[in-house]
Amino acid sequence: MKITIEQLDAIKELFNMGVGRGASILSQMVDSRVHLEVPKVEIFPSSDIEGLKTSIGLNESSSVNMTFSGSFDGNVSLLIPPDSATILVAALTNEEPGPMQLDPVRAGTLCEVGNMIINGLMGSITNVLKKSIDYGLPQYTEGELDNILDLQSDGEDTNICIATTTMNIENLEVCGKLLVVFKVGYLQELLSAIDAI
Amino acid sequence: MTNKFSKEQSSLPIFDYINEGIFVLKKDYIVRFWNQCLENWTGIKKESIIGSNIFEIFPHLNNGVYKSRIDQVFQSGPPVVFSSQLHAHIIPCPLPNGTLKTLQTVVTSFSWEGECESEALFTIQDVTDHSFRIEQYHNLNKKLIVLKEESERANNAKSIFLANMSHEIRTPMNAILGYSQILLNQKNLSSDQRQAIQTIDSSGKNLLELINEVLDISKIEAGKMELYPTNFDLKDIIVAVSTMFELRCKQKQLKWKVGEFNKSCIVFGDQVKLRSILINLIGNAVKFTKSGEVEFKVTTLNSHQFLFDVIDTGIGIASKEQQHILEPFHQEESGSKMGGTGLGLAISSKQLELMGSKLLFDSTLGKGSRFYFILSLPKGTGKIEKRSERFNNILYLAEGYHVKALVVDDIKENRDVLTAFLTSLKIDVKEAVDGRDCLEKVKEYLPDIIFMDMRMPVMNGEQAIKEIRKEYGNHQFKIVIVTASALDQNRERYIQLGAQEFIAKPFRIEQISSCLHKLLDIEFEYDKEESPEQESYNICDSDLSKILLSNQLHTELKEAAELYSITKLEIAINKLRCENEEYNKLSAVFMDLLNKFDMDGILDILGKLNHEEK
Repeated sequence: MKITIEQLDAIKELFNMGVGRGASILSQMVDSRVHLEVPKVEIFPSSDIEGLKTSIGLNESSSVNMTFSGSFDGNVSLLIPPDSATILVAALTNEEPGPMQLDPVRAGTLCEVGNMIINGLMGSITNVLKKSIDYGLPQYTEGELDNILDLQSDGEDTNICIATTTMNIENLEVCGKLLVVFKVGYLQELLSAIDAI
Repeated sequence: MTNKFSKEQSSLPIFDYINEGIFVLKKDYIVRFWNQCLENWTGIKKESIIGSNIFEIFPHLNNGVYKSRIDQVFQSGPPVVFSSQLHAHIIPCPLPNGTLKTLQTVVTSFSWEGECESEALFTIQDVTDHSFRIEQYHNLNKKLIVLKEESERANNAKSIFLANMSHEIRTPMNAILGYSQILLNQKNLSSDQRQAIQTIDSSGKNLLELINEVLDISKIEAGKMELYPTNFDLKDIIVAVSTMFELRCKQKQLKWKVGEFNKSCIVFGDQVKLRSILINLIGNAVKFTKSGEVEFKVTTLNSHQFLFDVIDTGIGIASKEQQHILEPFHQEESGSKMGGTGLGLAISSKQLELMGSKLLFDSTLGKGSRFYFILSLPKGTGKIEKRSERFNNILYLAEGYHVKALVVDDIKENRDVLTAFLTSLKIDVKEAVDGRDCLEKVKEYLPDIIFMDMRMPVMNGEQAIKEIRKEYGNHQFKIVIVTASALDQNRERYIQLGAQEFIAKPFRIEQISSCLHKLLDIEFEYDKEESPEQESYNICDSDLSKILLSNQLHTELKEAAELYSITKLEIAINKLRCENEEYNKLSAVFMDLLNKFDMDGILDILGKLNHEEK
């Protein structure tokens, strides 16, 4: 599938808006401005898992994952590197979080933050698509990348959009990566919808 | 569509039978459903709340943090999570103790069949108990962190204390041992004087050894012990250690067996540690063997692996003691009678671990022990570093050599002893009292070699070396660091700093001589005669048979030796020396054995002596 620079820019804008929505809620919660960098967006076919992994560049991570289905199938994950996760949890709970290994404070907090950001993004996407989508419940996992992301396609071709951005909360730099896995065709539909705007 | 309910289920009665709080809000925030569980938790009856606006009952939900996210649900958005960590009391549910339940909430969007408006389904889990346990766990963790920090602080304080203590003890030891060595080098001493100085020297060395053992184990515990590998001939070590123990065994009438190791074998490893391990293991074997034999052998397993064996027919170790004998400060009953710190085996074992080996042993009580280890020593290349034994009998600089030295130390006694020794070698010496003074003296005196202390007021040694190297480059003036700081003996670091050599205080005179020879390429005049103290430790049975001791003195010596009473023994040995000049040699032998805590050796000799009532 060929994607033009304009389309890529439009997806970037969509991600930017979506993450921005999530971040604005987050900034209400932490009662301080959450500054967001314009995300870097890349698209990989599911056949290029290695390319995707290189782009993600993390061996281990915290992840909030949510599936969606209905008129539009796929799943979306927010990956937060361990260091950023620690900073984020500390900023939100005023508690020093434990190391990875499913510390409940860390898991609960990150699940809610991931939920906010993902919801922001999905809100932007559905606004553009004007289609209703059903959602699964958000799930929190952490560990090695291969274990937390099911990137193996089940025979079907999928496209994976990855957007990397850095949030700045109270001068703390928190990095996050949003992965959206679209089943075949849906990305094209999204691009057409973007083109129609 | 999955999130659609049939209108017939509008009473949602099934949710009254689960142990989670469930309520439904219509788009205008009117409560449509309130389950039994929430009734129980909040005390608010469903009849009174259904049909009311939720903000009237719980105004905090009108806050943007909640409302903006719940609004998304009404727009068919994705589920919203209010975690127990960030929003624990979305619906306040009081507990008997006056606090509130901790809640974990998920809000999902759904709509009724035939209707397009979305409503919000709140599912609330009570995680109070769970959170309480997490909090307990976190508090425990915090306490542990505090305790850990406290213990680290204490350990650090211990290390600093040890370093300081070592510095404080080594400084006077430097003067004591330095002067005793200088005096022993003098030719015109009476035998009494020589004996007295020898006692000062050997007691000082013993004390230093004890301090070093305690420091060694502290260094190991602080992870600060490092390997200093050099090229050396394995045969040299085996021969040196064998020579040392052959005599000890002879004195105790033990058979000394040493495995053949004839060929020179150049290897690369930490020879100082290997030597100390072997001395420790064989020393123990000799110490704990009353009769029979002590065997030491080295077997070449392949090109780079060697099996070291020390086998004795001594008292052995009881099986219940065996698991503890490698622990620091552990001494079994028989060991504690023999004196020492109880650190030897622990140090040897840790040193072997550092070298990638393991100290192993088999032992049977009453039959004997075998201590052994396999050590990998790669083949050595290049030059072998010989120990400085050839510098034992130095008189002074050979003719035609001229050396100017600068001794930098803030403590007068330290300067005095080094200056006295260097002067005795006919070296020109000037002194400086700190780094700043050193810089001035360097400028006007232009020494060939600088002996630099590290810890000094005004300007420390490190700073002074940096200044010298900055001003004069890396090659003018040889710098030798002489420091008493035991925990900071990192040769590599000192070399990087710009020094050529490093010597720990208290120094041995041979070290200074060797250093002068190595750095300045000078030669010395040597004393051709064998030094008198070398022969005094040998005494043969025919010599013993000529001695006739008084019963009283014999008993005094015997009792003191049996009771390990060092002071009484020293007094008795002195009496022996005063009684008759012919006994000088015997008293020297006793003194040597006393310094080695070898009471059995003393008792053996006493057993062979004739004694009678005078």
